[in-house]
Amino acid sequence: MMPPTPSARNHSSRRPAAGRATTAAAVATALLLAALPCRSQTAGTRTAGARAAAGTRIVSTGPVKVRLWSEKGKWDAVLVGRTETHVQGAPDASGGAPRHEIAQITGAAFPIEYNRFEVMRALHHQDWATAIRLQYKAYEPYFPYLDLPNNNAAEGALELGTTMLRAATRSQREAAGEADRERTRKQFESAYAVFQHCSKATWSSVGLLGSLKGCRCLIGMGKTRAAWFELRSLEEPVPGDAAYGHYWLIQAELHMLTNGYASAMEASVKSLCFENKDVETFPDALLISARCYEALGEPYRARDVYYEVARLFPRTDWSAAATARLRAIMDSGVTREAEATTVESAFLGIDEDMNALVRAYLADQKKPPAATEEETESAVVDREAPAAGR
Amino acid sequence: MPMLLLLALAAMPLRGQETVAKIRESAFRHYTGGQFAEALPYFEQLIEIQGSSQSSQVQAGMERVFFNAAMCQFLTGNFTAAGTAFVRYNKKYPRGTYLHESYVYIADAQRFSGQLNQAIKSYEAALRRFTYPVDLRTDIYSAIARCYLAEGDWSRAREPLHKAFESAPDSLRRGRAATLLATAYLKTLELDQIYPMVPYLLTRNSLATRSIAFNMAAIEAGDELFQEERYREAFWIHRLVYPYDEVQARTEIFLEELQRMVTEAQQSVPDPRRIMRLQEWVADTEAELQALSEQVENYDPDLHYRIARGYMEARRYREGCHLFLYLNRTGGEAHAEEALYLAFICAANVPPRSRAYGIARRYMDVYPGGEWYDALTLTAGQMYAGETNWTEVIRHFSEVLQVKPGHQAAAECLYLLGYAHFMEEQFEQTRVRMLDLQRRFPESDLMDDALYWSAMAAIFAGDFSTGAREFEDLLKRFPDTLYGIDAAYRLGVCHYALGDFDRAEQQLATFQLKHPDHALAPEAQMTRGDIAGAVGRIDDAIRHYQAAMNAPTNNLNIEQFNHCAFQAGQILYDHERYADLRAHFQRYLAMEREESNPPLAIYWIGRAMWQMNEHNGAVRFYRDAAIKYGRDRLAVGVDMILDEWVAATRKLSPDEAAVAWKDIEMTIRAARDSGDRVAQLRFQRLLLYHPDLKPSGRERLLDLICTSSNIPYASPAVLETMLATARERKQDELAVRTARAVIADFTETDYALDARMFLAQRAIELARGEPAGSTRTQGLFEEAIGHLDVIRNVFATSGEAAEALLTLGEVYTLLNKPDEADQCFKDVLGVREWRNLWPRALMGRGASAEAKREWIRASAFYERIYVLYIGHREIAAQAYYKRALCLHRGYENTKAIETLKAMLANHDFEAFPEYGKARQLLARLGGAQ
Repeated sequence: MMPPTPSARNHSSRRPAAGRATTAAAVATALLLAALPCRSQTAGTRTAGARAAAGTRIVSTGPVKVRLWSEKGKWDAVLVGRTETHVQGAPDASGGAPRHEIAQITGAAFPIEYNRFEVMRALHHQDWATAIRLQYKAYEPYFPYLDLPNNNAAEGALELGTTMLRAATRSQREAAGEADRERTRKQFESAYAVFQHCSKATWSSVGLLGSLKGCRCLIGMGKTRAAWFELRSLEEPVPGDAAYGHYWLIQAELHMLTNGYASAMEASVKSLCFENKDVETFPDALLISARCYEALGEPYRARDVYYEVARLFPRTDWSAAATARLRAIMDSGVTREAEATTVESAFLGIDEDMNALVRAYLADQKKPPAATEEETESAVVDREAPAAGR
Repeated sequence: MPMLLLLALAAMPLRGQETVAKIRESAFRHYTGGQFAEALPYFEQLIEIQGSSQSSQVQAGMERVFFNAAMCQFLTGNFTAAGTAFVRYNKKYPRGTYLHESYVYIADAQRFSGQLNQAIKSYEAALRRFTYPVDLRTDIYSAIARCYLAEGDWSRAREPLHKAFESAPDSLRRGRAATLLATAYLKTLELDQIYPMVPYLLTRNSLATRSIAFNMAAIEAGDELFQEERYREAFWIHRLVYPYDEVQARTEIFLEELQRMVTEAQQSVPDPRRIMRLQEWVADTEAELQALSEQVENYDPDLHYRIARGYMEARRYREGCHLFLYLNRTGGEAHAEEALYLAFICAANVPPRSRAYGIARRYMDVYPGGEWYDALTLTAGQMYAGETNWTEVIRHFSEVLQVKPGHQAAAECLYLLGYAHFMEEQFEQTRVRMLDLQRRFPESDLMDDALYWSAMAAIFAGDFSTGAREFEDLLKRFPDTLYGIDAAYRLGVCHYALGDFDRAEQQLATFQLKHPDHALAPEAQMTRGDIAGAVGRIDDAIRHYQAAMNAPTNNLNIEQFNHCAFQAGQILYDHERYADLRAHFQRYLAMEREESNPPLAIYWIGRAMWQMNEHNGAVRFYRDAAIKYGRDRLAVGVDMILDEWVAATRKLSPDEAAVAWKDIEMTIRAARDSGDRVAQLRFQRLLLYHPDLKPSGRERLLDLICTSSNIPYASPAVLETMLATARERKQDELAVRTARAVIADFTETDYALDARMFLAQRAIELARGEPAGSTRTQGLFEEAIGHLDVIRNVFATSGEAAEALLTLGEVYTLLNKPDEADQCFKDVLGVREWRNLWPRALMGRGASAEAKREWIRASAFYERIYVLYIGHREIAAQAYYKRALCLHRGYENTKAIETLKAMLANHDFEAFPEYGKARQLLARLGGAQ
């Protein structure tokens, strides 16, 4: 196995942003570590002396197999701990305990094993619990090592965190009582912890995205001030940056909770206009814009956007949320009156009976979904083999 | 046996001497090392040697050899031979361990050798016979789909792609299948089938991010939907397209990664299927990249345009605006201008308006001759007009018509410009614009509008003759105009203003008859009251006024309502119809119109009672009214009633007056007991006019009233007393606080006028004591200017406005702003009623000219003073001397000497210091008498 190249691993960025990511994520991590002293095993609110001591103190982990690369070659190792600057190998036959300087490592491949098909299927069915159960177990041992350059666990850890965030978001939407809300808060906390680990992967955009997604968790945990604090420490991205959609989506969420809907609308519009190719932000940004349209007294537009989300992302949490709001809007009758036609729209604009489209859509939702035959995992079976028929 | 193999066998010299074990070892060593061509001869040799063995042990050991020999053929690209070899394996091992794989490789070999239909049948046969793990199943479904796609049969490719999508065990293959499926459905515009794939299309590693086939299909589908007027769906589909630059960058990165993965796979434990899959992807990706650079032009600007347009047409203007602005920056020349215009259109539809105005400004600056200049500027102007921001309308359209006199919508621009001038009470400019419109665009739909507003401007400027002519013209030329009714009424008003009462009465009577329910009918009735009053038809006047007040539509505004009430009241009083007067104002009070003036009505009722010899009643009535309304500190008229009460008590007998004053004292006590500080202060102020008040008592009373703690409870008259007392007693702080309270609470009353003047003069005085040019001096002057500006603008017709203008002029002179100063003095000279202040104004203009070193011009102003106002000795003396000095400075010494001689000849001036100065100057100029 060859070490992955930085360019290949940094694929989520359409513009080279490694420098930006490094600085921003490092700052964000430092800030968060200060704010959350118990979040990491190696850092917290300590004196300078204690910090220096921690820099050399080995924090042990469970044994983790890994293939490491440096400019000199590759070798297999079992890691059992680390300091801020080194990883610690397990004692070898001679009783020695090899240490490897992280700065010298150019790549790391962990043997990540889990039932990928089951995870894919769970994700497809939005069965977050199954996906998290399978992935968490697979990635958790590698969390302390996500900062190793070009490792193959960071991307998956970020995906895991994202799944956890989605699960928490769903719980938040469905929460009915205090107990539910408490459970939701804990879900956000768990996702936040995963993103904290991801934010250390400053060698790729995973680090920055981890920080940003961590902000979304902070919002879910009700820590809007901390989220603002962290977001403001990041450099404002430009269209094309991997962080763009997330950055403005978080701004939108924060504005919605603090500064009001007009600002939230502006932020969500930036997110959805200039990052409409990232499923991790686009549908959420659309939903926020729809919510803002509602709040700003533009129910027709809110209806349109909810309809758009419901149609474009069928059988997803986004669609469920949009459909619920669509139904509420239609039941309230605020869009019953035909919308005034402007001179411009009379000539070229979209001139559909949106209410009819929405009604048809909602009626369609009441029908049970068509039964589909699912693919399942199987061992090889020869149907013509004598045993096959029995 | 293939020729290649025979040749290979022939090239192996050591083969004959080798043992089977050695051959086997070589074969597997080469094979596991990825050296398939090298491995093949050894495998074939083994088959040659042991392939026909009847020993079951040997046969079992040979199974892998037969299979690997086929694999070597396959992996070295000999697909026909590979097919044959796999068939050989199948026959030899019909229950073999690798049979299920062999079935698939046979199909693969057929596919790679172009036998697509045969390949599909073989894949399907494999699927019929075996249940495969999802990993291999995904590959089989994908391979079947590839066969269909290779023949361009997107529709039959769908089913296997669906299955590949469902069975893919990793995101790459699932995303790939999703993209291909979406591409297939795009071709037939089956959008409902595409939407479930959208989350996969919008994933970072999705094939969609780098597939030309997908992105081009989406562009074409979007265009087709647009043609079918399915705009919303077109917009949704266009939005799925990845930008050209992004596709290219991602494809290059992906290709690099794939190549790395292939190398990595080849160096690891052989996983032929994975290698095959990766190599196929490498080929696909290379083809995509080549197609992108050779066959597809950069579509980004067009794509951005379509998406932005989609948002706009869907009335999601915020989104549209952002995207058009982006396009303006990045879309190149071809799109920049239109994008900026459309960004403006979007911004114009959503708050904040400032964004739209900012964009409009940019467009106007960058594209003064632009294609959308006319449309944009008209819309922007209409927006300002919609906000009734007339100053901006004037600024905007003045600029627009200057930049583009031939504006396509010049008539509309002129109309709005003229209308804005009207709203700003710039009637002359209104007429200029409206007449220009009429002259340049006689066929315009706005002709009647222009005619109406030019007539309106004429009458508001006092030119009723022009107004009447134009209203008549309007009614004649445009009998169906929307302004018809209004013009008919205004015409009556014009006749009235021109003193043509008969025509006015006729016009207005006709108007009332024709439009009895029109909003202007009561106003017409009011004017008929004015007419009747003017010609002495007293009863008619009162009837009209009262009818107007009682109009069921109740359309008169409060000024008109009060006009009717108080005009009628005055007439009734003048004609000594006191009982009617009393009843009239009692009705007025009963109507309780918002913002009506009960204190004034009470004043009139009291006067009526007085005239009806109900003296004590009148006094009590005033007192009761003052008590009733006195709690309201802001009720200005109460103070007026109380003043009238004082006047009334003076006419009572001493006994009656004493009783009345006693009443007031009791009232004060009652107010104090009930904690009504407003009324208490009001009545305490009244005691200042008590006939028996001694000077010491007056001082004590003033001490009581004039404290800053009373300010929040003080009525305007009380505040006025406090201000006057504080000034008299030199209590500067109290005076300032009182004056500021008056301004804050009684902003538009005459009380505020005095307060402002006091503050202005105080500021000027303080400024004079400060170092010139210091920040404090500047601040004080600014404060003074602020107050004086209000006085001259808000109280424009009062004598105080003239005083304010003169003071303002003097302040500007001190600030060395001669132009501003001159304008102030000039303004005073423009009002005939301020004639007594003209000498000072002329003096000021002279000083302004002097400040600009325009000596001769200054001398002319001074000359006008002593010529016109020789009777004002002091100022004439100053004017003589100043003129002489200016002439001297302007090198007109002869004239200067003449002036000085003329002055000195008039001995009336000897009393003034200028006389001596003139004598000295004359001596210096060598003209000594």
